[in-house]
Amino acid sequence: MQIHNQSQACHLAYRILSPLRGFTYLGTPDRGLTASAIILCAAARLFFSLQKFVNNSRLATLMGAFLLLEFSFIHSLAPPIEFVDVAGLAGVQVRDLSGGIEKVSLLETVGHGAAWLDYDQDGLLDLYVINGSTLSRLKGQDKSDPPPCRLFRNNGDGTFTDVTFRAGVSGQGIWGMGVAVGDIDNDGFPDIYVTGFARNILYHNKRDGTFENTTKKAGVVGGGWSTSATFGDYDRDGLLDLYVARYVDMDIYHFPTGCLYSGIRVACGPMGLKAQHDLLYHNNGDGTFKDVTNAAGVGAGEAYFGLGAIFVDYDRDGYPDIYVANDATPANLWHNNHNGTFTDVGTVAGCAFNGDGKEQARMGVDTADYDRSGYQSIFTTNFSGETNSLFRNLGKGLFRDATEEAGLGASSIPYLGWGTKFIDYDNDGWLDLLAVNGHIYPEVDKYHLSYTYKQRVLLFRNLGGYFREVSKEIGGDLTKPICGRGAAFADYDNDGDMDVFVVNMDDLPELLHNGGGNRNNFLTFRMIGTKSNREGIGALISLTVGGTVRTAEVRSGGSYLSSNDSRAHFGLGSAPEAELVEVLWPSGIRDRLQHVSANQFVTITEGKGITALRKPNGMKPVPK
Amino acid sequence: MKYVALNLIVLVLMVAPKSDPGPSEGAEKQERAATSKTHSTLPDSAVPPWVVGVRARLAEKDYDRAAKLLEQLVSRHTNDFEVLNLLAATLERAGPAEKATTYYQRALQVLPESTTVRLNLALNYVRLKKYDSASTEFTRLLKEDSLSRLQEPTYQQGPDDDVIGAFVDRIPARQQDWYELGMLLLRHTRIQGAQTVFLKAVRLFPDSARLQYGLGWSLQEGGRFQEAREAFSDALKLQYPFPEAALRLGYGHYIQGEYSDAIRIYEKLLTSQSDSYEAHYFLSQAYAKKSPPELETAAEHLRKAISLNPQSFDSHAELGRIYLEAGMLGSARQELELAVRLNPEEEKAHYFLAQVYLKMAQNALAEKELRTFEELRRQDRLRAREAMNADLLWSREAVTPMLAQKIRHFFEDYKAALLTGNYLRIWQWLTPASRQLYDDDFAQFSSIASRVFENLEVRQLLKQSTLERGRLVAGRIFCEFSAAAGKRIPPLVLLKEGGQWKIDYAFEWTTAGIGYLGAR
Repeated sequence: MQIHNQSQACHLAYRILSPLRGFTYLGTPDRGLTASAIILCAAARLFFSLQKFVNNSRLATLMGAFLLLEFSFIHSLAPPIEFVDVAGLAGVQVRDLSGGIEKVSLLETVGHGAAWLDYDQDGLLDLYVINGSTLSRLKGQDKSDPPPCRLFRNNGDGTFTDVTFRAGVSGQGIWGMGVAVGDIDNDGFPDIYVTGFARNILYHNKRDGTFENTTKKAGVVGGGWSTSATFGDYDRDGLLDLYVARYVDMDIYHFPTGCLYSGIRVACGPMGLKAQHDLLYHNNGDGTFKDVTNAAGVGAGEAYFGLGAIFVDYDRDGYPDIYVANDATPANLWHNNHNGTFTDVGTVAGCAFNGDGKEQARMGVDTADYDRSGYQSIFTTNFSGETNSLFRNLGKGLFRDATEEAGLGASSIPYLGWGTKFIDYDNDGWLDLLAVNGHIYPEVDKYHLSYTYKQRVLLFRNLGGYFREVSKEIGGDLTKPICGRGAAFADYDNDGDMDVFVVNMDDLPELLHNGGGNRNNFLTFRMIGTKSNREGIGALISLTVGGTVRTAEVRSGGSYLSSNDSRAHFGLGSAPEAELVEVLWPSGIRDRLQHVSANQFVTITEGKGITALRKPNGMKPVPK
Repeated sequence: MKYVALNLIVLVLMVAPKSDPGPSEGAEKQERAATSKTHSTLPDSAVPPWVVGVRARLAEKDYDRAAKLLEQLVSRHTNDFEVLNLLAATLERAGPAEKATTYYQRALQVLPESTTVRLNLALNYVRLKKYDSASTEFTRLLKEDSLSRLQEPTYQQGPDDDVIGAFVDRIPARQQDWYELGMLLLRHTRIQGAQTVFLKAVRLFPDSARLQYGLGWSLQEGGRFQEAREAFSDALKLQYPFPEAALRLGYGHYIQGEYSDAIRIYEKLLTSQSDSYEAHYFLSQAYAKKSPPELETAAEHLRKAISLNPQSFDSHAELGRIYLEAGMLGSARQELELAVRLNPEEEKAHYFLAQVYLKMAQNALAEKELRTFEELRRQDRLRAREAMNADLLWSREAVTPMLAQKIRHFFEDYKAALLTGNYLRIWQWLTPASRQLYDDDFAQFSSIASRVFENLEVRQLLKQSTLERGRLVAGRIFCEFSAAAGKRIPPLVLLKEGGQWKIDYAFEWTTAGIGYLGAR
């Protein structure tokens, strides 16, 4: 092969080594590439130079190839990124209960979620874990209390302390499903909304380490079968509103049983069952909410089987829209009409059905600017036998099913996906994807189906808009078969990389600690709204790094039945700084910050810019 | 796509195999309802309450009480085919299995052509170790079932086919017998039983490609994809060409996202079967799905598929989609409009056509297509939901208002038609509400039904129409009427779907569940 210039040499180097180390050529080398990629590129350039100086091209090729392999070998000595389950060490092992081991009803199959929140505002993310119950308890045949939901206070040393009962957030006998976190009264302390079967609970944070159940007073009892909930300020009045997805209208005394799945008798549904409309609550600003489901239009039309929900400004018009991942029915994309009402534009926008024009059984959902287009694309986790779905945002309000072309299709078919999020696990500047899996029918193991009940996590590395599954390469606890459901993502130890808490069906959870993700640089932003809602939910952060722009929305909710770290985390690769940070707040106020150094936790206050900086690993905040 | 449909079958079964132990309060309520409200009034209850009561007991594995309820019902409805069959299946679970035999036999007297009941009876004999009797029934089934296109719902099945193993160990048979028995079970979605038969058979006849193929099919339907692929591969090693095995092997790779393997299989198949429509079609799908897609090659195979089967709306729709992907909007529009003309209910053609129109800035046309697409999908979901709601009747609220409205309309139409002698109209309405009619006034119903069958227009339609798979139609009325009237009536009903009359089997709107395609 004749090499004419350094760029070609660089390209060649990537092509040679990409199968070995998972690198890919991303066009022109930029500062956002990983350090390893830069080393390889340098080797390629040296290879090219050798060709110039050594007349014998075969010898030059051999020398160059030797150097490339040498660089690659040296680089491979760096410790790999690993995810290690530290739930036991951290003291957050609480056994999940989802009905019986034999799943006779759909209610027993959908699992639970978890949330990361700093409930006491000590700068450390605490963990709240939802739990379930049994049918016999629901029917009153078993009078014992179900296991409580659990709140674990972060001790700051990698361990947690159970403060559930002291804080008063046990769930009080609820068959819990999901959890949303939001500061509903803008007092700086996050409140908790627990969804469940038959009723939901709002825990108001009293700012003294305890919570008060204000559900009835607030008017957010819900009812029916609520699943994922998410906070967002849809009317931009500075107060967080609440969207609650709902699933099946189920009578626990008379539900269908014994449906066939691949010839096996299993729990029935949701197809053929009656769905429930989702709920939208408007925040009145006095601790109460108004049910505006019908007034806002989200109660119109056919009800679908809602499981995942997320506020997202998909068209960048400044008003948050809502995407709902529905099971076995079309997804909703509720476009915000700017007047307190919404219109479902999912079908027209191209993200209600997959590219084949079929509904999919969607569970988890996340959105992100994974391709650096400036627009939020949508990812959903789906049933086994289907691919997960990536709807690439084309701008102009349109999406395209880009699942296959992004490399996310075939590899996900055997997996039944739940919790998910775009995270830059290696801080290389490109948002990767993690999806938690597990089947709903325990019977699949008994009858030796190809789909197993317990399944491993899927981690897809973003190689510049194209994804490659790397879970097996990373190995360790990431490949352990689990029956995962909810997943909450956070940098809980403030070390600069993203960790994951996974709720496992009828089992102990996993706290997958990211080791090594912080070898690259990062920036994490905590937002404090003044005119906007206190947590800056809905704020759009644009980061310019190495001349390229990445964006992220600050949000509550997403994943599946869960709530993530509300701070916005950016991987910077080897870049020492972000040249420019722009924040567009929900109020319309813009903050512009220049030359923000990497590897910091940055607090931005609306209209004031940076108000606090903190170094990784739990160092105390440093006032600017 | 029949293969997709086969793989996605989800059918509601009568029996809950697992549940919490002990009777529930809810179940007792339903039992009271079952004994006290056999005759209900419209529109509160579209389903006889005994269904709910029996279901509640079966869900809790309380077979003794379920059997008692059913015995009461049998004493009242002596010739109800479904009740007899369900009682037998329940007794078989409750034990002793001998008691079940009589009721299966009685059910067969009412409806001799029911292969499901006959299969239940055959398996009952196996359970009782009466292998000769079982053989007789199986032999008869093998003769009749291949001729019958009767699609009966799986809830009518007896207990699991765990007895098949014992049977196959006892009965020496020819290769062809094994194959047909396995396929018989597969046709009845008794997939585990089919797997048992084929696994045994391939051990006895390791050189039979046909048996390996059957094994592969049963494993594929049972979600054991890797083993299915091995079986199909073995079949192809034993016999080549073997187009059916190759197609299924390729499809097995395709549905698992192994597009390159699927392409390899289909390409090889085409070297010996160049005129295989299915091979061209699925090959195009694999080329379109692989990463990166090879759209040009995919289009080439679709064009070939269309040349082999010009009326294939599916291929036209897929070709239109590929043109859409390639930005050839004019060609895409042409293909998709043709697909829609060939089959106005081809949902994805409407969906893709809308996207073409959107790209051509013909927004009004796009919106129209999207609305059509959404409506078709909605109708599909509605059918499934209405069917399950109406059948289960968990609570009054669970019955959709639409269903209640339909039943009210039925009575109005029924009265009007009765006065004017419009029996065809009665027949059209009879389908969704026939159960209620039967419960409320069996004598009058019998009288009407007999006249309907004598109606020349109905008879003409029966002759002209082709048989279709059953859906949402009443079944047991025919059995009972047949016995009461002393003459056999074909278990068919007339349905109007998509503006066209169709003749449908009458067994899917009955006691415990509705089969439907297209879900998980």
